[in-house]
Amino acid sequence: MSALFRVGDALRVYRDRHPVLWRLIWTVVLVAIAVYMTTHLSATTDGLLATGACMSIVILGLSFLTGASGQVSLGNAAFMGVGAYATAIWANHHTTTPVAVVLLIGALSGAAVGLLIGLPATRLRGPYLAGMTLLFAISFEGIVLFFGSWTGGDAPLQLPTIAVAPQWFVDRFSSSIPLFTLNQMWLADIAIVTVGVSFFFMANLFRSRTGRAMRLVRDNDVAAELVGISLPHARVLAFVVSAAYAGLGGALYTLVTGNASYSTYSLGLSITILSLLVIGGIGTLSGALIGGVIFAYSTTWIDWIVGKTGITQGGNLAANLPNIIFGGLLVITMLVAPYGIAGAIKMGAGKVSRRFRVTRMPMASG
Amino acid sequence: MIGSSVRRVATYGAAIGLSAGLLATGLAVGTASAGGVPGVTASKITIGATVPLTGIASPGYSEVGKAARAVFNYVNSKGGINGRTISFVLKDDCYGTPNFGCTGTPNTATQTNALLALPVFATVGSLGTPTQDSVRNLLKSNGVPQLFVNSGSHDWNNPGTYPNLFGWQPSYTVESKILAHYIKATYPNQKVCYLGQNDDFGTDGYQGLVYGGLTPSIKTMYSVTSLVLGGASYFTPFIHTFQTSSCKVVFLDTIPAATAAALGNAHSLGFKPHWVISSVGSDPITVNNVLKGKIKPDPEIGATSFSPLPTAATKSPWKAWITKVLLKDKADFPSFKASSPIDGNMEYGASWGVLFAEVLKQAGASFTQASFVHTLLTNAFPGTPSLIPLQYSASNHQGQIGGLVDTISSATQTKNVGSGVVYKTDSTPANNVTVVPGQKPAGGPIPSWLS
Repeated sequence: MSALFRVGDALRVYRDRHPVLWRLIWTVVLVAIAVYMTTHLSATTDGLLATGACMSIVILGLSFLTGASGQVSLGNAAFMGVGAYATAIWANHHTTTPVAVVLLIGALSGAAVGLLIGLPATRLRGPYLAGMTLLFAISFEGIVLFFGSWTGGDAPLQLPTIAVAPQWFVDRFSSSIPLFTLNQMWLADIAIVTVGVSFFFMANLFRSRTGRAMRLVRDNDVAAELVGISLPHARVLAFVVSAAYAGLGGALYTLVTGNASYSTYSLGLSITILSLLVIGGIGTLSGALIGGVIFAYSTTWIDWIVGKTGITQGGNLAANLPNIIFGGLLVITMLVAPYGIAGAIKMGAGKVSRRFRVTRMPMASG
Repeated sequence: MIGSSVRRVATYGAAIGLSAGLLATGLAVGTASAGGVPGVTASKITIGATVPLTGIASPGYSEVGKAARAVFNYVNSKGGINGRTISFVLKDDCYGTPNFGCTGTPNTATQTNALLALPVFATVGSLGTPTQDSVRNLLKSNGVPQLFVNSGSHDWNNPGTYPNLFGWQPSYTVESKILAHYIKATYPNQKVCYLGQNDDFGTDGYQGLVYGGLTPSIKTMYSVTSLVLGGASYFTPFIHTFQTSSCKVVFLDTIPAATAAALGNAHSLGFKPHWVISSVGSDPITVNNVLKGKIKPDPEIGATSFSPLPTAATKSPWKAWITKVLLKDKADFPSFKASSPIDGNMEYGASWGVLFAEVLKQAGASFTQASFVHTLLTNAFPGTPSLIPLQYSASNHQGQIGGLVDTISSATQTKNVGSGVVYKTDSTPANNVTVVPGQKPAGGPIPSWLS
C-alpha cells in the first residue's frame, strides 16, 4: 500500500513539473480508449456519441465564457449556426478540403462573428449582455434568409458529399460490416479526436496566465485593472473563444448530419445549451462532457418515458416533455447540486477521500 | 494531498463510469446483414420513411405514411409478398421544424440515420422538399434507394446524379401547365393573380403556368415561417391587393394551412374570385379542419383543383378497397369507419403504397437494391389508383405525368370537372398539354393478388 502511495506522489510531482505534457498524455489515452470503444458499439450509439461530442464542445466554450470570465451568452446556438453554414458553404465550393481544415474554418468563422458581436457586446454587463446575444440568436434566421443565395435560404444547405470513411479505414474491418456502420464509426472517431484536441487546448488555456487573468476579471474587475489587466481585452477574448468553440461544434455537427439548417440553431437550442451547462457543471471539463451526453441521449430517454407512461404521442404533454424535463433538471440541480453533476461527483469523491485521509494518518505515524 | 489525487481519480473515474453506463443503453456490436442486402431477410423486408407525424406540417400529412402502412399491413395479412412481410418504419421528423407540437426529432438527417441504422432496404414515401433534399447525399452515399418522395419538386428527377432517387406525384410544373390550360379555356381573358410559397413549390408552380401560356398579372410569394409566426392575418394584405386589383381568378400554390388563410381572409373581405388551388393544399377535409368549420358555407366549395388520382365522387373500385384496408388498420386509423370519407392524404399514401407492393412483387423472391431499381425502371405499373399508369425510365424519375381537373363539391368531397378528361404533359417549357384518349378517371385495375 505504501508503494502505491509513493507512486502516487511521484505522479503528482511529475504532473506539477510538466503540467502540459501530463494533460497531453491523459488526452491521448482517453481519446484512444474512446476511439477503440467505437469499434464495438452500434451505428446508433456511434451516431449519438458524435452528436454528444459536438454539443460538449459548444458547452465547453460557454463554460469558459461563464465560468472563467463571468459573462452570459444566449446566442451560442447562433454561433454554432455560423460554423455550420461556413462549413457547408466552403464544402460546396471546395470539395477536397481535408476534414481538419474544414473544422478549423468553422471555428474561425465563429470566432470572427464572435469578435464582431463581442466588441460592442462586452461593453455591456449582466442582463444587457444577455439581451444583445439574445438579439443575435433571434436574428440568425433572418440573416440566413437574407443571404439566401449563399445559404440556400429556407432549404437546408447540403454538403456536396457526406463524410464517409476512407478506404484505409474500411479495409481495417470485416467486409460483412455494413458501410453505414463504418461511416458512423468514422464520424464518431472524428468527433472524439476533435473533442480531445479542443478540451486539451481549453484545459491549458484555463490554467494559463490568460485564464487566471480572466478569473480575476470575473471575481474582482477593479483589482484586475489595478494589476494592469485590460478588462475589455479579457472579456472580448473570452467571448471570441466561446464563439470559436461554438463554431467548431456547429461545423462538426454539419459533418455529422450532412447539412446546415437555420431551424436547428434556434433560440431554444441556446437555452438548452445553457441548461446543459448548469446541469453538467459550470467551469469544468467533465461537466461539458456530461452535458453533451445528456443532450445526445435526451431523445432516447424521452421516447422511453413516453412509451412506458402511455403519454399520448403528439399531445400537449408529449410535445412539452423535453422542456419540462430540462427545466425540472435545472431546478433540481440549482437546489441540490449548484455546481452541477460534475461538481456533485467531485464533492462526493472529496468526502470519500477525506474519510480515507483520516484512516491513513494513524498508519503513517505508526 | 493523496486525498486530492483520490478525488481527481474518483471524479474522472465516475465521469467515465457514468458515460459507460449511458453508452450501455445502446451497446451492441454492429451486425452484418445475412446475404448482404440491407433490410432484407428471408421473411421480412424493412423499409422506412421520415414524415411529419407531429408538428407544423402534420395536419393531414401525418395520414399519408400511415395509409401506406395500412396497405402494407393488409398485404402482410394475405401472406406478404414472395414470402416476406413488409415492415414499414415511420420516423417523425416534424418536417424539420421544431416546436408547434413536435414530439419527434425535428432533424431529417438524424431520423434518416436512425432508419439507416435499422437497417432499411429503402426509404419509401418520405415527405417534403427541403427535408428530402437534405438527405439525398446521405442516402446516396449509403447506397439506399430513396423512393417515391412525397413532393412535386423537380429535385427527384435527376437520374444522372441520383440514380436511385424517385418521385411519385406529378411535378408542380405538370400540374400548373394542366391547370393553366383549364383556366385559359374556362376563364378566357380574365385577370389572374397568383399566390405561391417562396420555395420551389411556388417557383415551379408559377413557371408551369407560364409554360402553359398563362402569365398572372400579380405574383405574390409567401413565407411559411411568416405564416406560422403571423397567423392568417399575414395574408390579409395579399388578398386585399388581389381584391383591389379586381382579380377574377386567384391561383394558389399553397399548403393547406395557407389555403385556409387565403380563403378565410377573402371571406372576411367579401372577396369572391374563382379559386384554382394546387392539389398540395386543396383537400377539402384538411382545409376545413384548419378552418375548424367556422365559415359556412365552406369557402372552398366551387374551387378548382387537380388530381392524379380518382376523385371522391368517382365510382372507382379503389375507394372501396382503400376503405377496406384502412378499416383493418385500427392502430393507424382508430376512428375510421366504413362510412368515413377518404381524404386526399389517405388516397395519396395508399396509392404509392400499392405501387411499392407491386414493384416488390415484380422484383421476385431474390433481389438487391440495384435489381429492384432496375425493375422499377423497366416496367409499367398500371394496377394502381393513378389515373395514368406509372412508367419510370432512365430519363424520367419524376413519376406521374398527368391527371384530371376537379372541383371541390362539398366540405368533404371533390368531383370531376366535366366527364373527367385525363390530361398529360411534362415539365419542359413546351406548351404541350394533351388529352390521354380513352383513359378512365377511375384509376387502373386492382390486381387480383391484392383484392
